[in-house]
Amino acid sequence: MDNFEELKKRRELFEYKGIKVFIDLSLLTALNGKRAIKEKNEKEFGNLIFLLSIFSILINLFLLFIEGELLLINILNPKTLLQLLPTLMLLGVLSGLYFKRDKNLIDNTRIKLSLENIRTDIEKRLNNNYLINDFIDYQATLILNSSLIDLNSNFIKDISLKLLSDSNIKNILTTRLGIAPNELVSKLDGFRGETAVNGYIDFFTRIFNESMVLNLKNINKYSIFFVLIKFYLRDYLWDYKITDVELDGVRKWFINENQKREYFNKWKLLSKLKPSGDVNLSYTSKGTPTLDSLGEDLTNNKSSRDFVVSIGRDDEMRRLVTLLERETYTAVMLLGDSGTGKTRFIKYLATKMVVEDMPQALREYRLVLVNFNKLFSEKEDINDLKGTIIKIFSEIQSSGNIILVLEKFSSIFSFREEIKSELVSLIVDLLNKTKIKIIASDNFANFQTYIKPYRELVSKFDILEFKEADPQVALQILADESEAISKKYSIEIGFSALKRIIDYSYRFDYEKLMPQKGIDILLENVIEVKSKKLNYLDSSAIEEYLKMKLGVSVGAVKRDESEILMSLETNLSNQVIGQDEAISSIVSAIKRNRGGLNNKNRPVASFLFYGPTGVGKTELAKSLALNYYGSDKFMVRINMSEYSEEENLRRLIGYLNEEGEFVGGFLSEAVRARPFSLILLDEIEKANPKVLDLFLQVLDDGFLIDSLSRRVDFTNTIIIMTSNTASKEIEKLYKERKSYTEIKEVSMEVLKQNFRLEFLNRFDKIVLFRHLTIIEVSKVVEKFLREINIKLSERGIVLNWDSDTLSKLSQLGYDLSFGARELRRVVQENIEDKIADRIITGNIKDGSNVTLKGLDIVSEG
Amino acid sequence: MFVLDFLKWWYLIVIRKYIEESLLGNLIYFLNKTRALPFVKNFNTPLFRDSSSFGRALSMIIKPWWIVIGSIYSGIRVVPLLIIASFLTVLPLIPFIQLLRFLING
Repeated sequence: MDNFEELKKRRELFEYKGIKVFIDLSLLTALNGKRAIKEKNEKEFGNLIFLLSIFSILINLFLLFIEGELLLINILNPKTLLQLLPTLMLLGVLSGLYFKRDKNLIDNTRIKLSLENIRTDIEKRLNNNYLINDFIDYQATLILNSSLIDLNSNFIKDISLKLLSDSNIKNILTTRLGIAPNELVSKLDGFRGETAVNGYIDFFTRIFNESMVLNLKNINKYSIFFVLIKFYLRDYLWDYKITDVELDGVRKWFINENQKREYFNKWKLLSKLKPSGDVNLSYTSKGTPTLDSLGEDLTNNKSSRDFVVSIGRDDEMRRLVTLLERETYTAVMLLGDSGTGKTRFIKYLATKMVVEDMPQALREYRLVLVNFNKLFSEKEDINDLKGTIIKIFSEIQSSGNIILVLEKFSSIFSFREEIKSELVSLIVDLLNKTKIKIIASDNFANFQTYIKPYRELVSKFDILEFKEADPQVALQILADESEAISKKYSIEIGFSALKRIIDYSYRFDYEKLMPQKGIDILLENVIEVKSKKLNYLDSSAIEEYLKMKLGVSVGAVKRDESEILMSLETNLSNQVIGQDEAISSIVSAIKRNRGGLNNKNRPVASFLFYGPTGVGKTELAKSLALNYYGSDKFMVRINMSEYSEEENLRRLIGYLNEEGEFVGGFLSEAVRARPFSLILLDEIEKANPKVLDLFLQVLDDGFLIDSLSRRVDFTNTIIIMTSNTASKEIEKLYKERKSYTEIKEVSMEVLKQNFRLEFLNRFDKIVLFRHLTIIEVSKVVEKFLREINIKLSERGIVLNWDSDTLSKLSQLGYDLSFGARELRRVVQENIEDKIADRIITGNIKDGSNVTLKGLDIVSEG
Repeated sequence: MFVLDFLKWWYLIVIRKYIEESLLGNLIYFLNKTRALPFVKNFNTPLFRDSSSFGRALSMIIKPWWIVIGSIYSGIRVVPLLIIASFLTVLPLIPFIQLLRFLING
């Protein structure tokens, strides 16, 4: 025990960027025990005194009112005590207040330091020493101290259990991570961790670092919580399939939430201060009456609905602010499809301006949104319209504190043909001569068609691209929105529901984009659940909705990927016969790619299938789509022989036609519509080499840029190219009875002559498909017959066949140079059609047995 | 100890919080609202961007007056709060003075 006392004394903990941090455990733990009892007593005593004083005041007043004398005092020496009475009462009230004082408040003042001190020290390169105790706030101290009294205890478990009983922490667990706190507590029973003696240095170092990262002022319960789930309880979270990315998301959400709260408090005060007129507070700007009558001042909105914080757009905001800060003109174009949060982003800028979280130069600015469409429709006369527009611009120019927002910028060019070019030259002129600041926004298609032709104008604009929110950010936004939604509809929204929405909403309804799409889905479901008079939205409701929307049960769209990969090989070889080498190499390549070590910025897998025709190349691709994506609808098939000319390339990635309208590319639109799909490119040897060059980038980086300069993402696709190159050589070698590896070696040489080496090297696997043996062909025939049997079983008819049938059909349908291409047709003509005839004529009745002998049909019963 | 603890709590927390949040907060708010503070901040910039000599001269006359009037108005607006603040400052002393008087006078 003496040893512990020694340990508990002040000692160095770690060094943080030149600043030494010490710890004094004895100070930290001394808080407990006696102090807790003292506080409890104080509180009870305080309550008593407070109540007594209030009570005595009331009684005395009452008596004074009735008799004009104070009875209680008369018992002692009435006159002297009467003098003292007010004093005593005042003392009572004051000490009552003191005992009832806010403990957090007084203990927060005991923390003399904030982590800000360390941050400024680091900036100024001062090397001070600090005691970590000074930074830990009251609640965190209470959580920590009792666990650290006994240094041999399992302190992490103690701390975790204490934290998990805290309501705020519980709330984070359920709503942000989807974990039931009680379940986690029961799991902690078997927790074995280090004792405090061994582990406390690491622990305190981590909570200190975490608080610095989270940008907190003190070390509080949240920093302890995040350290616990990140370092100590991580193993338990794997059970809930919580990834590191998700944990990081929760931390980011916490930082956002903190900032949001801080912002809102500031905003409430400062939005009241914003002048309601058209000049700024210091009257250093000129009035803008015309602009005010037509526009909406976003920085002058005072209802709390206008307080908007946009999550996950920090980089864009930083860039926008630096652009606006420039001394010269600023013209920024926010380019992004609708639903990516452009409007929200502009409102966030307004919020930032109101809160004055802006560089000094921009604090006096106003953000004014002008709706030109309204103006165009109101003003009939061209000269009148032109005059108004010129007036607006000159007002902006002279006032000098306007940031003009033009949503749907292209609408200026799509209306009123007559003044289009004049308007453009007006804007260009203004940008050249003045320091005007414009933020315009539009989507890619409009930008391409209407704005891009005006090169002079486009060159003035800096472009900020708004991409669809990635799942992580979308989840944060959705979680943020869900709070407001759940309040509004008084419904509880489970985290699992949000996760389901994020998992699937990227796979359908591609015209809408995340996060708006996710919010819409959430709202739709909330209303649906509300109409059923339920008050909890969980994942099952979302699954139901998705089933309705996708037409397939959600399980089929995305099972657990590892599950798919486990059964992939057996499933494929059941469906595609005779290509076991090809299948196993494909499956191993996909497994290798998806094992977690793959480069995320490449397609799921890419293969080149080559070999003779009719041996199952396309069939394999189809069944791969079926097994991996859940349906063969998720396959895009492109016949590359149509792209033998270089100019056909534009048909793949889109182009502007003669009328200046955008025509979507076949490949780019297909992948944008279904990012989770298999892309099958047939007969690539017939395509133009320039067309194939397009795929170099796709195979390597997982994306391509279409002609609207939108990024088309291929990272969720499987790309399969097929080629008949070298089929003659393969046939020759096959006839010479060479082995698979020998054929492969020779045929690879032929491939290398036909395609560029850098192209071939980019595939995950180049797979040779070999000729089918006659036994394998008969297996294929058997597969077809079984399919017919399944169809017939609806009428109760059972089809039997013998080996003679199989061999005859195989001989008819299989050819060395054309493969089994004719096989299905042969089976159809010789068997299916004949049976159908006989069913119609009544020769085969429902529920009868049909036996095939050779190609003849013998029906029984 | 109790008395000392009590006084520490009263002056360092209660009064300080009151002065920081209520008194100064309101004063700054009114200084902003009357534009006295923005005028001080942009003292050399002419009103309404009127950089002509007339405009400059006019703003040189108007601005100081405006600042003075705005400050006086803001001061008046926080007078009640100031009274409350002084009352709060004296409040814990009243019982002690009374007790003292009681003891001295018997």
